[in-house]
Amino acid sequence: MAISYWSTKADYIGLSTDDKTPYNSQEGAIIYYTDLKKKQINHGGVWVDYVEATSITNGSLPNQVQEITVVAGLAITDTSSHSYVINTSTIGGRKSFIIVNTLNQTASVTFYGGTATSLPSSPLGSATNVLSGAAVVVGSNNAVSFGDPYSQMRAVITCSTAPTSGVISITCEGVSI
Amino acid sequence: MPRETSQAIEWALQQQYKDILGDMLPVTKTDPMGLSTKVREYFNSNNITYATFSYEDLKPYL
Repeated sequence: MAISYWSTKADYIGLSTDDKTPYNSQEGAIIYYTDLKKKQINHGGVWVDYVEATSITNGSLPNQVQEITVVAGLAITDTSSHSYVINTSTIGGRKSFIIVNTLNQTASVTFYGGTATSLPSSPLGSATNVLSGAAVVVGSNNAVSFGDPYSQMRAVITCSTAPTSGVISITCEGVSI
Repeated sequence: MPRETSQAIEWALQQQYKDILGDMLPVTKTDPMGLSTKVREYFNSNNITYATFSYEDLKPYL
């Protein structure tokens, strides 16, 4: 991960080289490698400026909409359940799922929310049936618990009749913390 | 994946596909919907047996 910072005074900017040791710039700014939030810095006992992350690779800045690919271009050929774990630990709460189904059969999608180590068996709301050739957004309007924070979620896709053409994709959208 | 996957991808990348809005778009390596759709179409047209696959399964062939 690499982070770029902005400040009105370049001397205040610094990065630690690992995730453990803070970087001390000449002007006293202390910024941890994983510190992505806007941070006020102190110089000589006076709060003088802010530093703020402006770009990041291999991650997302706080308070920006993040897109997580759940599954892309899935060509289902059977009636089995296809399950995908979604790492939602960087999304604060409210989230939505965009489902695009070009399979030639209706797809049923069920979501589950849970911790980093376990997922409950009870789904969040009821299954969403996505017709062939349809794109739908599933979010807090469909199930209140979609606004709750979860370390990870699971999407399960099933087709009651095996599709013979087309694909299905699901992406998760949410605000990074 | 079937042994014909590389040929399927090579063919798919020369095709266009109709997206969910009805627009015709060229298939590219970075477009999961288009690429998987056309690879499946190639398998079907050539009577190639295949199991459920996704764009992730195609990446090693790109």
